[in-house]
Amino acid sequence: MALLTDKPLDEDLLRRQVATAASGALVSFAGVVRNENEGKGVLRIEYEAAPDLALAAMNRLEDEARRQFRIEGIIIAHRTGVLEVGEASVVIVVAAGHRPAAFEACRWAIDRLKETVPVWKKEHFEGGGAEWVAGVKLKA
Amino acid sequence: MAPSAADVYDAACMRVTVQFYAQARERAGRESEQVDISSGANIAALWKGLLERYPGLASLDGGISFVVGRACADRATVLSEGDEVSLLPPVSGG
Repeated sequence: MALLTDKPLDEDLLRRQVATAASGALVSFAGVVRNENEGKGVLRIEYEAAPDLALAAMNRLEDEARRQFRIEGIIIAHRTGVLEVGEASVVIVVAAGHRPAAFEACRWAIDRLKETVPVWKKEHFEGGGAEWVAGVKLKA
Repeated sequence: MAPSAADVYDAACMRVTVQFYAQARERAGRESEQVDISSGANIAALWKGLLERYPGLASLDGGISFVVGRACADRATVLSEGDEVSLLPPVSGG
């Protein structure tokens, strides 16, 4: 079950939620606010979601991942609101019997998330100013 | 008795709700709006009206995606009374 929250993401807690006794591999990815983008210093990033649509899209991604890969479980969590440098905006955890499926599913899920989940980020720059990241046209 | 002007208007018009997000929200200066539009109008007609009202939306024209309720839609999608139309600029999550 996907999670969309304005609270800090707790990667350890998410890992514990996904792991089962059959999980020989646990792979997690965290997307983290970085202090620069294309040569500009970034102070913080503001994340906005279309909440119902984003949560539904993340739940669909989890279902698709379970169908496509030999995995035991997956959870996709995305944060909204204003995040400082170093804070995680997205965490994906995949549990599988073996590592190949866990790595593949995790990589697939973050790549798909960036095209199919209606979330937007606005970078706030050092020295003032803010801009929405250009982004990609939403895929169904 | 002849129908009143209001009855004629109600028959010819429907009301939909538009949800604006991210750049679209900023350029329209609002999160949502109720729009009265001709019965049977499609998204292209709704979008045209919005562009006239909020010229700042024009630069989003190529990248915007439309969702009606929970379903992906396109400019040819015909709207119904009470529909909720979400305007989704290019996405940049993760």
